[in-house]
Amino acid sequence: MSGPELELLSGGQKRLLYGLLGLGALALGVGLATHSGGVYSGILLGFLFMLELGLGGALFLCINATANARWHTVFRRVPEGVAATLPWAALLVLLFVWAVPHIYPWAAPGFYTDPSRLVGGVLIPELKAKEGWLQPGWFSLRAVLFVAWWAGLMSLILRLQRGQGLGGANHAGAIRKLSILFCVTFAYTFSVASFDWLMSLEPRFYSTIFGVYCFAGVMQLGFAVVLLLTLFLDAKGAFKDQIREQHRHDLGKWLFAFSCFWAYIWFFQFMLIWYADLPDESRYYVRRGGLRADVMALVVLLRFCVPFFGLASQKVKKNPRILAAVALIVVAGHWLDLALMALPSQAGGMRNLYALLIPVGTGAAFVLLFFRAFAKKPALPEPDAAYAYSRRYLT
Amino acid sequence: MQSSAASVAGAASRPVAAHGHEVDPSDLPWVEGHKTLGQVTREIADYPMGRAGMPGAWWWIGLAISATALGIGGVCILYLMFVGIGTLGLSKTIGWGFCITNFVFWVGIGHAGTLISAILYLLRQRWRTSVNRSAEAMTLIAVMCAGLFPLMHMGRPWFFFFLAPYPNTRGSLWMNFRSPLVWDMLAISTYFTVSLVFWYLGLIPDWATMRDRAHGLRKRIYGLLSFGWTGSARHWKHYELVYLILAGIATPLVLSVHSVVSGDFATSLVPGWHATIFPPYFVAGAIFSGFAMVLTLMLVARKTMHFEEYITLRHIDMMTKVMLFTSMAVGLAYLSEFYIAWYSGDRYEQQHFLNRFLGPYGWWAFIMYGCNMGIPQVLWFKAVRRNLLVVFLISLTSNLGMWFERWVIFVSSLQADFLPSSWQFYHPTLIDYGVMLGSFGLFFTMFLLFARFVPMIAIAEIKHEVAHGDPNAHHGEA
Amino acid sequence: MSRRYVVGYFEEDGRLIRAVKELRDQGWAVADCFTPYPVPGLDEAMGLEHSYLGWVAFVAAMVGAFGMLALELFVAVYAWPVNIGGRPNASIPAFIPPFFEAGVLNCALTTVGALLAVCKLYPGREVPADLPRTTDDRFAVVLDADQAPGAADRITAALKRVGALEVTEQTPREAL
Repeated sequence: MSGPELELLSGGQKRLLYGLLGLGALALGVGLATHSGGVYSGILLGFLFMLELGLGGALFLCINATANARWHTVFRRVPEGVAATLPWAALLVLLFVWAVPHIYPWAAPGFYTDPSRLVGGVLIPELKAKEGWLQPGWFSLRAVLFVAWWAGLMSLILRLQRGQGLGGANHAGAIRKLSILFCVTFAYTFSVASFDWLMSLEPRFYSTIFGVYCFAGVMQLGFAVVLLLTLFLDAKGAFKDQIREQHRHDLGKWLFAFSCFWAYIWFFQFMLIWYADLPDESRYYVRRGGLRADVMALVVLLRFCVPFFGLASQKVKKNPRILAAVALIVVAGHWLDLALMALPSQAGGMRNLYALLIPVGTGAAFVLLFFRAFAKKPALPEPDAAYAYSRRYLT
Repeated sequence: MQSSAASVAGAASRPVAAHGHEVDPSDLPWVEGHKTLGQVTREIADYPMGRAGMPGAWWWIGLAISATALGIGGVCILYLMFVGIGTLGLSKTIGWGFCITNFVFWVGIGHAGTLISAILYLLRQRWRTSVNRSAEAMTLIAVMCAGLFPLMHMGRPWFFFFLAPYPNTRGSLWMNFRSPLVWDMLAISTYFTVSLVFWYLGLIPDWATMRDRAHGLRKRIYGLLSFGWTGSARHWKHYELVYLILAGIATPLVLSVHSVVSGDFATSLVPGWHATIFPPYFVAGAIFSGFAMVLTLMLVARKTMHFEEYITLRHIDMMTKVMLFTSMAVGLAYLSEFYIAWYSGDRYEQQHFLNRFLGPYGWWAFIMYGCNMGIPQVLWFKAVRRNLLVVFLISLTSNLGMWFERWVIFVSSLQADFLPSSWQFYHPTLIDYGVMLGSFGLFFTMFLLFARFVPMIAIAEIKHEVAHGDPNAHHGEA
Repeated sequence: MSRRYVVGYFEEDGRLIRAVKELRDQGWAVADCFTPYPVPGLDEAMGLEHSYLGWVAFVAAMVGAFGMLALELFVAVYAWPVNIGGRPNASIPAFIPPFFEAGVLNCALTTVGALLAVCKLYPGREVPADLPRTTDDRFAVVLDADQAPGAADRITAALKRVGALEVTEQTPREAL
């Protein structure tokens, strides 16, 4: 776990992380052994949480590469390390796929032939299209293909990134092209993936913005995680004091901006569904408490109010402690948001300890894998030509 | 220029500096020709000060054409006022036709101006400085054009003040704040006011520059317009922060405006209208069409006013990339709509989308999807982005496509909704066409007047670019 | 009451900043600088405090937004309650767009108003001093000529030393 020159994690921190990982594994084992209903939604959440953490880093890298940005090169190893966890998260898709029949109501045998869903012996039109689309085999194949594509493409980008600047090699053009490819394909595949993985938990619910909503969440999560890990590593001295106020300020601004963007998407999905009040749509929010929803309010508080009011002032956006605290709250808010999307339609509802413990376990695995990936390479990408720019940029 | 994050860069060409290292294109100055500050002042301010052969023949020809269009529109509007909105092609089925289409079209056009002036400012996109002034002017004019349509559609536009929330002798009859139309009124008027303030704030130092170069009456006028600006460092300090704050609030504002406009439709139950993706989808479409209009205007302006060194091929390249990006975003929204129409199993929604393509006006949809999603794909190629004629043509087709997008969404949804017995078509009347022509007349007339009397490029801001280029590339003593 | 000032002109902002720093190091108080565009780093060189208008903007936005929310609640709940589609009178989700717009509007107008007030800018304001080409291509630093006995000459000499193109003495209409 330790890098060649530097102990990135203290012994206590490592023990804590392994402990949390063990706790998650234990919860998974107990749940599976006791055939507890809640464990399957725990698997879904654990898988999604770890995957989206990695995807957040991947998006951070690809968006910056697409825009030819160089401000982040000093701490670029952080999003690289985050994205390097993707293949491991991708492995979890196998566990997820195995659990699909237990998670999704439409995957239960006889769902499409249940008399309550037939009118005159014919499947109701609301479910007609889903009969072929939402069925375990094809659904699982899609999931595996999406995850494999993201992890595979990202690994390729990371491989090029690693060699960037070494021996005069310049892959910037190739990295940029692949990053654009990642962004474009991600937008489409992730939309379908979120329709599949979260929206279809309630088979009759639909919302065209749902993919954008999930995407906005991942963007915000990505910036929060990169910010959090960068500040942690900087406090450990990993970057030899090259992280300056400007870097922190810009990271803070991005987190602020994406918190607002997330809130924008959240509000319009909620407001339009509330306003039109179509049964298949509004049932989604009714199930989550309608206007008096305490958990929903908490999600908005954690993901929007805290970063908005917390980071509004310029001074605060440069303060590492406050930034880190806000970023941590946003990460917790993301987990709660996922839980609120997934759990209410599941057995046990929101009172599901597995849905907390398993994501905590995969989250700990994410952190451990991140540090493993981070320690493999020098913390500062000094050979990269963009490094010099990033080290001294002002605004 | 302190502000936000990504040091995003531009252009694709990668020149090699003398010492052999590759120069990152974003480090190059965005203004070509190694200009001195005095030269910048002259080259830009001489146009509005009437010293650069302005107004030339092209200007008078353009003004004649657009003023004629505006005159025709004015006559049509008068006729509409006197006779009533029955002169439009409206029916009980299609209560909103050309007016709403043109309204949303023009509001959308305006969005690119705010994107350039505010969002790209926060993103530290230095290239925006060459076009922000004219793009913001375009925003203001486009919002004026947009405002015409709901006003006329009221039938009795002289009672427009009924929309304002104030205690009155009618009850007091208050407005219904739950109505998206009321949000619209608030959003559009806020948008216009904030854009105007933002634009004028940018102009104050430039009026001062012109004041100090002018004599006599001109000096007095510019003096009034400049508010007595001196360029004091103590003033600049506050000015810069206020500029940043305005950019910061204009950013969510511009998102909110088209989102609220989309709410006019998305809050309803009409098939093809009620989609939760409408707000970001409309915003992306608005920016797409707005950039198309900026390109249309700028390609002409840089040629006729000899601004080729200020609005370079790299600027055009950046703007086409924004168009490509927003076209992809709009494409994602289109596909999400198809997907959910199919997935939800909502029969009315499905019927609507079939009707959109296979119904009597299927060709509308092909123009819409072709121009917005298809044609812009050629912008992936650098050769295309550098070919001004092709870019100009794409900017025109994009605007055509975006006009048809609104037309398709609004009219084809109403035209065939739940009850087949009430299905009807919209037959635009001459008045419909006349008013629309008038709005284009107003737009181009105002823009020509702007080009004649107001500095087209933000002089103070571009001077900073000329003097420094990328502040990060050579981080000197400054 | 008119004061005398020494004005030094420069052709580059970098030289202006160096001059300001040097003069201040020598103990001279810099009254103001006049530049055609905002010069980055000049604030720090002059030792100006950070602008406080950010707070004005924040408060104005809150006042606008919550004022509008109060109006909406007053109208929809108290003054003119109407049942529309069975929605509650206090339909908070529907009140958010006006809430937001009013916040933005008030923020913009108040902040710009505060800017104009703080800088005392208004249509018809006379420019206090004639500093040629400072809105065009020159950068001027202005120092009080009577801040110490014999200051004018010593400041002039110091300005020439740091590379001022031109140094003049001026008595503007009002204090700078």
